Amino acid sequence: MQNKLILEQKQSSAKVQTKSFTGKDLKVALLFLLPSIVLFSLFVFYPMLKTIYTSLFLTSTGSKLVSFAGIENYLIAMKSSVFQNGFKSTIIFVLATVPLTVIFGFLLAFLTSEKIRGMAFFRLIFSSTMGISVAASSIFWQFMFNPVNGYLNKVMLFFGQKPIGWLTDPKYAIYAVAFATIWMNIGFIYIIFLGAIQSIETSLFEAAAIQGVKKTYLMRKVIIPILSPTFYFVITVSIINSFQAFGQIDMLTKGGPNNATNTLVYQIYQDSFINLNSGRASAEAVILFIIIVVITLVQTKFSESKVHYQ
Amino acid sequence: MIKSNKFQTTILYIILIGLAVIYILPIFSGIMISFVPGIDYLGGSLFPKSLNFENYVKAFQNANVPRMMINSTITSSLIVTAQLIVSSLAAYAFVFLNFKWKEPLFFIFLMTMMVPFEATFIANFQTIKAMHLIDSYFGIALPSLASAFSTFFLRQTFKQIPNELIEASRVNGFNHWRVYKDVVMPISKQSLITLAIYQFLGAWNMYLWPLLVSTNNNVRTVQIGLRQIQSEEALTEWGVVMASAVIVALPTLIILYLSQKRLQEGLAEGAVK
Amino acid sequence: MPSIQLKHLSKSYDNHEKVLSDINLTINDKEFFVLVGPSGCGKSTLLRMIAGLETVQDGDVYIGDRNVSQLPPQDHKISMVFQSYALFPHLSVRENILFGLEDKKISKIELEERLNEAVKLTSLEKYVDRKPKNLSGGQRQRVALARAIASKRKVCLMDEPLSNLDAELREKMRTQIKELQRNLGMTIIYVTHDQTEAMTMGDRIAVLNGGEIQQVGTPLEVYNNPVNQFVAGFIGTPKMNFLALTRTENALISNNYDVNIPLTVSQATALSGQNSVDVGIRPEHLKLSEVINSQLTGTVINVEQLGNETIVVFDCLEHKMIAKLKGQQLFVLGQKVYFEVDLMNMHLFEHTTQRRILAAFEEVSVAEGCVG
Repeated sequence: MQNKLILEQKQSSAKVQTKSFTGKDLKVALLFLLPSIVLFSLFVFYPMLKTIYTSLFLTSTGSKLVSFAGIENYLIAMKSSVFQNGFKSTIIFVLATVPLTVIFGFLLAFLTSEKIRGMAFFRLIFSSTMGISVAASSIFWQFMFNPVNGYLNKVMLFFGQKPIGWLTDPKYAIYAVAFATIWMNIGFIYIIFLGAIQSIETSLFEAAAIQGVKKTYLMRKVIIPILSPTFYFVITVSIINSFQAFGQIDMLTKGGPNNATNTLVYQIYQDSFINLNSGRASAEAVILFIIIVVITLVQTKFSESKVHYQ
Repeated sequence: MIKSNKFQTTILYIILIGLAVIYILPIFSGIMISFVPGIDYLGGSLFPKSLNFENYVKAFQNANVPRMMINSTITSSLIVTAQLIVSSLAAYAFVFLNFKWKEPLFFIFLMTMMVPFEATFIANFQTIKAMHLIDSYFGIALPSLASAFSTFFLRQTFKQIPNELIEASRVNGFNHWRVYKDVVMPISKQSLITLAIYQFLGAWNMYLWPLLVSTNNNVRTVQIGLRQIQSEEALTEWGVVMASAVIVALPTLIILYLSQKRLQEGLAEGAVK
Repeated sequence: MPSIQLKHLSKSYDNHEKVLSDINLTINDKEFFVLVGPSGCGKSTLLRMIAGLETVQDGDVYIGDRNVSQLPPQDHKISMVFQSYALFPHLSVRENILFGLEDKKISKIELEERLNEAVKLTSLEKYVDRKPKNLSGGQRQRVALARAIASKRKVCLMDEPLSNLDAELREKMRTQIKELQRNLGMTIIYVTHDQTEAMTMGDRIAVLNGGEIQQVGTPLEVYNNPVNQFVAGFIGTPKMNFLALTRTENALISNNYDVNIPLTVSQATALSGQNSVDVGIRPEHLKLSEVINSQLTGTVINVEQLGNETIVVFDCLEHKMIAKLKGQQLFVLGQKVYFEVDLMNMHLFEHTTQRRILAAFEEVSVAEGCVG
């Protein structure tokens, strides 16, 4: 009670102070914030607004605005089968990558969180993909998927199966790219989870060990609930990253075969820099923006209501 | 964490070894091929008969890899340095200064995280072009110099600095610039290093933007270089392509290995909480 | 029947630094056993080895008649109360108390019974649905106790369980834990750095220093007959005074004659052949003397008035010495003071080894032995 009073007093005196210093600090604050504000304005807000603006116009190949078109670019995009398929591919891609990346990243972190001999080695191995760029990873995977010499088809042959055109068969291409993407992203997710598990107080694990609980019980009853903020963070980051996956698609399939991997982001790139249709590309970019905003908002809502914060 | 008995530990090792083998298979196959001379590969061999650096030599001589490594190092260092300064200044304002519109302004900073790069790159390309910065290091670096993530991360760090320290420095007559430069930044050295490493990995791996704004080998980064090598040589010289990929992956892998512990602790602290 | 036996336990860390060496202890059933020592003495490591949380390298740990040295913690069948309480932040008090039990083959009814008993004994009835963050420090500590009670395990290990509480609460909890232990017939091994806790709670205590057991005994045995200067200085507050003195025929003196303590016959016999001797005198065994140049002469440095007693700090042979005097005594700083020593309660230690030469109080401990 007394503490609370003191706290309130402190707060009110802090408020008074804040007020009297406002004018002085504002100038300094603006100076400190200036570089960020200028850069964000120039390279985030201005282009974002310009993209929205451009999306409302028909454009010439030189990115010149030709005539106001309202939401026509959106309608044309959404009606086209390429866009619809691309949207579907994007969703499949996200659904195929995110859950597996998060689950594997978490399981690997859980398995290597124990402090025993040799763990440092496994930790290096499992975090290593964070240190390999998308371009280099794509080259490694392109070879894995190689129809003749790649290990995957060697394994298929070993088990008496027919070789598969992983990247050339429209049925498999999106899953193949998704699979490679899971591998590329696990390193980062793994490191986040490992750090989070290690920041849990050790005596909690010791109390559980003394009580003799099973590892599954420990995971269900302790680790997952305590790590819920980490899970939300990791899931959101993974979803957004998956929506924005570009390098691996450009390196492995270039949107093909037969548009099978022509995801939203790849279409934006193609429409703007290859088909030179900025109006349509802008409309698609705005759609992507809206999707990401919605995901972020949903995530924030969820984490506020469901997540346990320590 | 929990101590297991010997039997469980053995099982755990077996599982981990199995997973590790599968996990590094793509890297393993790549490294193997990088040591197989072109002629042998066409003859169908996937494993080197001896340690043969022929492909690495070719990657260095023909494929311009060294030049592009330098380009990547310059752009990445540029981005990391500028970003640390820009973000730490902003974070200082958000933590230690009282001013009107602080909350809404911070919210606007956070909003930038939601804007996908693909929604801005068309206009950004035109901006960079208008500034005559196509094919320049600055052109590659400029849009990445301010970062909401870095600001947020450093804000979390600065918040842990006791306010008394700032007040004491102010009482001693330091202005905010000196408090920032001589108190806050030195204290936060460890977090700054962690962030620098994380952002360096990100900058080194940038793909789409350098692809758009670099059209010649003088500024092209390694990632774009890899793309070029891949499209030119993949059908004929797999060994050279692989050797290039290995060379490109090596610096960041080394950085990661050296700083893995720091990253896992720092990111868990700064990003999630 | 011994409840826990430690045989030749040793432990070193990876850098070969010895943490514990050759620990032998027998802890009886239903005993309240305290491991006490300064920080870094190895007491917590020892407790964690008994719990199975630290690997046992050399020697054996027996719980009951089972050798558990190489078994994982759950097979030690003990409960433990941690210094940090180790409460799960996302679970309610009820879930914390029953943690891990729901996973075992225990009926719902019994779980409920155990919960009720545990919360009743720790007066937590009103708080079962709260989360730890909504509890006070003392309540959290009691939840940790309740968890140990609900586990129904005979042996409970406690690692500095009261060190995060304020002084008043700590004193209250001491009695509560002791009562619980008696009523439930638990065997408790209790680790603390606080010698008052050790003295007030333990049936027996073991004093550790530098990874070695210095002495084991009842609190009074250890207090009255410390085997070396470390134990003598560690147990008891204010601390025992030590003086390095020279022995003459039948007295101990200092070079400047500020100290001149006569020896009893048995003391003199015990000291035969020793020229330099360390003398230990507890503050309460110094008596003010009216005689000038009495057994001990000093200069007053500081005085603490506690109302019922007076603590005088004085300088003697450039040592800070402390005397605890009954009642209210007035002193002027810098004043000369003269003391008499309670000769029967004087402790004699070898100057070089710091080991006990002759136990003080021998008569009393023999008498105690007869009664017990």
